[in-house]
Amino acid sequence: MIPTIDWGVIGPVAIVAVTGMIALIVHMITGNSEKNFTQKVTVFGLLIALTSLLAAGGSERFVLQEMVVMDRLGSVGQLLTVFSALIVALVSPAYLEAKRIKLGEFYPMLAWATVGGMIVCCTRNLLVLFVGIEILSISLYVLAGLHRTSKKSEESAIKYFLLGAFATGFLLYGIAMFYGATGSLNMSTLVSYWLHGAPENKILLSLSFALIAVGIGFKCSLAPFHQWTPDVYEGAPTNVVAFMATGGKVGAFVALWNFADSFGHAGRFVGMTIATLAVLSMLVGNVLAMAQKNIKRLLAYSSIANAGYVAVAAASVAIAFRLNHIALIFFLFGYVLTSLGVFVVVLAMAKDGEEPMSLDDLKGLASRSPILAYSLVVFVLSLIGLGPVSGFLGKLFILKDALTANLAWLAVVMVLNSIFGAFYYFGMLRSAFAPAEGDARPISLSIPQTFSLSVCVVGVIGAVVFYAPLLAHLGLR
Amino acid sequence: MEGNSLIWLTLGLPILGFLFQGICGRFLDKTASGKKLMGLLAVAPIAIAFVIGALITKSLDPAKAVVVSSIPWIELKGLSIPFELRIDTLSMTMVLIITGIGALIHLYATGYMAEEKDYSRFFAYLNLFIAAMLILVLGNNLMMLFIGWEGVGLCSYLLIGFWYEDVANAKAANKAFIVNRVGDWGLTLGLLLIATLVATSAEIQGETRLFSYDVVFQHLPKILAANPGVATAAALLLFVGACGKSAQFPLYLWLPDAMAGPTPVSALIHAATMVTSGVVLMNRMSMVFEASAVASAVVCAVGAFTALFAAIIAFGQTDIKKVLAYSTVSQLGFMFVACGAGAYWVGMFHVTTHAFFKALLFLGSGAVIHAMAHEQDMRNYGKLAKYLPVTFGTMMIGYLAIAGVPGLSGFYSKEEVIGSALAGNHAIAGALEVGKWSGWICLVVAALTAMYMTRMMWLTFFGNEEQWRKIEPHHAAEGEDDHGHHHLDATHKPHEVPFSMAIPLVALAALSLLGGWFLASGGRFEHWLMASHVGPLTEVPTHPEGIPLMALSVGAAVLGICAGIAVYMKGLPAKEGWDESKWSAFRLRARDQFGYDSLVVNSVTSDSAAFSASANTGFDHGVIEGLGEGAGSATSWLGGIFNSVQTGLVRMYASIMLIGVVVLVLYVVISSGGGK
Repeated sequence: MIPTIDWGVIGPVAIVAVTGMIALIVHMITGNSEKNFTQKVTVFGLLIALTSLLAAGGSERFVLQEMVVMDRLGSVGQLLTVFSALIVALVSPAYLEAKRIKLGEFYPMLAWATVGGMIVCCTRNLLVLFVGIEILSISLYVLAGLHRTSKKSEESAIKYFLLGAFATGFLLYGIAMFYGATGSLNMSTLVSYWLHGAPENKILLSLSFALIAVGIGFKCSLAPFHQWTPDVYEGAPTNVVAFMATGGKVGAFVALWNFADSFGHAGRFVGMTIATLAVLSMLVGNVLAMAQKNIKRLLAYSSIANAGYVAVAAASVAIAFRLNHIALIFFLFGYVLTSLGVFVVVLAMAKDGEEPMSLDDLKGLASRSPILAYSLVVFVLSLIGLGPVSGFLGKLFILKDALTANLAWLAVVMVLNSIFGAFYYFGMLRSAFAPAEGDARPISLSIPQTFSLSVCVVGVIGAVVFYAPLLAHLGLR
Repeated sequence: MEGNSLIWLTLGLPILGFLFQGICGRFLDKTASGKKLMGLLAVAPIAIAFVIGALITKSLDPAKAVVVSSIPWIELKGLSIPFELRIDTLSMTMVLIITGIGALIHLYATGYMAEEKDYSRFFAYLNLFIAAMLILVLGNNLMMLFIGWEGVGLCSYLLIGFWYEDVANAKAANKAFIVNRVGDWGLTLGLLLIATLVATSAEIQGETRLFSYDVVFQHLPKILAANPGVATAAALLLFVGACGKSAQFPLYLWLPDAMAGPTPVSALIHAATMVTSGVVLMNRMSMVFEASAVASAVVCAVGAFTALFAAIIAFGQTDIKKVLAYSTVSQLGFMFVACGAGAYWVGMFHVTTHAFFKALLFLGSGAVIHAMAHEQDMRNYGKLAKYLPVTFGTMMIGYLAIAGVPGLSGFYSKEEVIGSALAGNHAIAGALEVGKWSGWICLVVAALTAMYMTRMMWLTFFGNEEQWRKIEPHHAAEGEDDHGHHHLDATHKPHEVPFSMAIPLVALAALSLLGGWFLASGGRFEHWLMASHVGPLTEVPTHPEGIPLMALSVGAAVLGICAGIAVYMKGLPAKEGWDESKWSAFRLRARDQFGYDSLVVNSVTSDSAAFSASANTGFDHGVIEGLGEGAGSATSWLGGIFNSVQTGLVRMYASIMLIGVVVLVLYVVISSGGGK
C-alpha cells in the first residue's frame, strides 16, 4: 500500500532537496559566472522553504507510517536549520571571493546538508534519523574540504570523515541492537520494553542506548567525542564552519533531546549518563576555550560548551518526564542567531585572501567598522548569557528545567561554567576595542551582509523583548 | 607499668644521637678514626632502641593498647594535647621495623659513606629521621602524628638534598617537599575534620583530650555511622595525605627523583619506612575507611592504577635505582589495594615483608653502585655475579622474594593482598566492585614485577659481556667528579663490599627468606596485629573460596620470571641499548613516565610565575581585576593540560573516542543493571 503523503510535513524538506538539484544544474550550465546564478537559485529555494515552514502548522502528528513526526520542536529546528543555511548562503559570495575559492558546488552541497539537518529534526524513527545524519554528515565532509588548495582544509575534511565514519559505526551498531531488543525502530516503543521487557533485552537496550548516544554525541560534539571539532573548525572554510556550528548542530541537538525524552518514566540512569557527558563537555569546552588564541578554535570550544548546555536540557527531560521543550527551543533560537552573528562578523572581515585567524586580528574592529564591533557586543553578551538578550533566556529556562528534575548540582556546574565563559568571550571584545595593528582600513559591508547582521541582532534582542508573543505564537502558552 | 616507660628511651636515644652528631660531629669526623667513632655512635642508639623495643614487644599483651603519658604540651581551655605515646601491636610493629632495619642501614651507611666529607651531618639527619618516624608511629594523638609526619618530610628533604651542591639533587629535594605539601593539605584537613567531629559530638562532655586516639576511637565510629557523607570526606582527605607521603598517583612523582639522595637513604626512608606511613595512617584510622565503602573503592582504584602504572614505567628505566624506585611505588600500590579492600593487616604485612626485601634490594644496588665507581646505569653492568658474590647472593634472595616465589617473604604478603582484594567484601562503589577489579590488576602487576626485576638482575649480574669494558678511557680534562670518586672505565675492577656493608645484606636476606613464612604461618601476624584493633571491621577472607589463589599467584611469578629470562638471558638486548632511537616507542614513553611528570612540572613551574605576576599587578590595579586575571590564568593553565591531548592526530582522537565509548558502555550497563 502506498501511504498517503502529507506534503505539509515533508514539503519543506522536498523543496530544499530539489533546490539543491536545480542549483547544481544551474551551476553546470552557467559555471562560475559573475552573476552567480547558483547562489541566487539557492537563496530563492531556501526562502520558499522558509516561508512554507512558517506557514505550516497544525497539531503534533506522525506521518508516513510514523517515520516522520511533526511537533513544535521539530518545526522550530527545521526553521532554524533553513534559516542558518539562508544566512550562510547570503554572506558566502563575498567571503568566497575574498578567499578566492571559486567553487559553485558550495551551494548545492549546502542545500543538501540542510536537508539532512531537517530530516534529523523531524523524526523519532532511528533509521530515518540515521539517513538524515548521514546526508548531513557526508555533505559536510565535502564542504569541509571545499578549499582544495589549502592543506588545512583538506586535512580537516579527511579528519572529519574518518572520525565521522568511526562514530557512524557505533550509531548503526546501537540501532541494530535496539532493533534486536524491541523489533522496532521507533524510539517511542522504548519505554514499554524498558519497563516490561525481559531482563536480557534490558542489557541489549542499555548497550544500544550507550552506542546511539555515542553517535549522536559525536554530531553534537559532546565530550569525550568532541576532539574533531576544533581541528575541523580551524581547517574548514569559515562560511562552512558557520553552517556546521549552527544549522548542522540544530538537528543533532534536537535528536539528542528526542532520544532522551523517549525514555519516559525510565530515564533516571539515562539522565545521569547524559548529565555526565554534559559536565565533561562544559568543562572541556570552557576550560580549553580559555587557552585558545585562534578565533575559530575558540568558537569550536564554545560550541562544545554549548553542546554541554543542551545536554543539561536533555538530561533534565530524561529524568523529569514530559518536560516542556520550551527551554530547548529558546536556547536553540538564541544559540543559532548568536553564533551566526559572530560568524557573519568574522566572515565580513575577510579580505585579499586573508581572514582573521587570531584574536589579535580582531584588533581595531571598533574603528574599522563600528557596526560590526557593536553587533559583536550584542552577540558576546548573548553567548555569555547576560541579559537582556536571547542567550540569557535560553540558559535560564534550561537551569529551570534542571532544577525541576532535581539536578541542582548540574545547574550549579552550568552556572559556574557560564562564568568561565565570560573570560574568553570578553577577550574577543577586548581585542575588538583595542587600537588597530597593521591593517586599519575601514571595512565596507555589502547589502546581504548588512541584512544578515541586522536580522541576527534584531533576533537576538527581539527574542527577549517579544518573549510573550513569541511563546504564544509557538503555542506554548 | 614500669617496663613500658622504657619506650621513652627508644624515642630519646635517636634524639640524643642526633644532638650529639649535630653538635660535636664536625669536630670529630675529620680523621678516619674519628669517623669510626661517629659511625659507632650513630649506629648504637638505634640498635639499643631496637633492643628495648623488642623487650617491650615481648612483654606486650596484644589485646591491650597502653598509653604512656604524658608530658603536658598544649593546654587550652577545653582542649589539652599532651605529649603521650601509645604502645600497641601496630605501633610496635613499626617501631621494630624502623629501629631494626634502621640500625642495619645505619651500619651499612658507615661503610657506604666512608669517603664522605660531611659524614656526621649525614648521620645527624638519619638519626633525626628515626626520631621523627618514631613520633609518627608512637604518638597517641593526631597532633603528634602530624608532627612526626612533617618531621619525616623535613628529614627526607634534607637527605635527598644531602649533596646540595649538585643542582639536580637540590631540585629533587624541593620537588619532594613541594609535592608532599599537596598531600599534607589533605592530611591536615582530614585530621582537623576528625577532631572537629569529635569535639562537637554530644557525648564528649568534660573530656579535653580531643585529639587523643583513645578518646577519638571511642566516639568516632558512632559519629561516622550517623554521617556517611562526612565519613567519605574524612576518608578521602586522609587518603590525599597518604597519597602524598606514600607516593601514589597522582602525587607519586617526587619519589623517583628522591633517588638522587645517598642509597642508604633510599633504602631506609624511600623504601622501608617513611613511604609506608600512608599505610600506617590508614591502619590507624581504619574506622574512617570502614565507614565509607566509596572512599575505600577510591583507595583500591588508585592503588591498583599506581601499581600498574609504575610497573610499566619500570620497564623503561636504565638506572638501577630508578627501577627500584618505581617498583617501590608499585608495591605501595599493593599495600593501598589491601587497605582499600578492608584487609588492613594485610597492608601492614606487606609493609613488613616489603621493608625486608626492598631494603635489601636497595642496599644491594648500593653495593653494586659502590663497586662500579658510582655508575648507576645498568647498561654499563653485566656479568657482575663473579665479582660480587655476597651482593649477588643476597640480592638474588631479595629478587626472588619480590617476584613472589613461594616460600620467600614477598610471596605470602602479595598472595594475601591479591586474595583479600579478590574477596571483594569492602571496596564497592555503587554496583562497581572496585576491590575485585583491583585484585585482578594486582595479579597482572605481580607478573610484570617478576619480569622487570628479572630484567634488572640479568642486566646487572648475568649476560655475555662486561659492558663497562667498552667505555672509552677517562679523560682527565672532563673535570672533577662531584663526590670525589674516580670514573668508571674499561680498566675498572669491581670490588666486593666491606664487612660493615655485608652484615646488613646478609641479615636482611635472612629476613627476606624466612620472615614471611614465620609471620604468615598459623596467621601469626594477623592475630597479633588485629588483637588490639578498635572499631568496626568487615570480615575479609584472604583466600576467597572458588579462586585458585595459590596457583594464580605462583603462575604469575613463574610467568614473569620466565618471560624475563627469555628476553634478557643474553644480557642487554640491542633495542634497549645505548642507541635510544632503536627503542620501541612504548618503552621510550614509559621511560618518560608517559609525559606525566614533565606535564605537571612544566605547567606548574612555568605558569605559576605568570600567575603570581598577575596577582601582583592585580593588587596594584585593584583586587577585583587581580582576581579575574588570577582565575583566568589558573584556568588557562588547566586548559594547557587538557590541550596536550589535542594533538591533531586522528588515531589519537579515535582512541580517545574509543575509550569514551568503552567507559560509557560499562557505565550504562552497570548502572542499568542496578534495577532502575
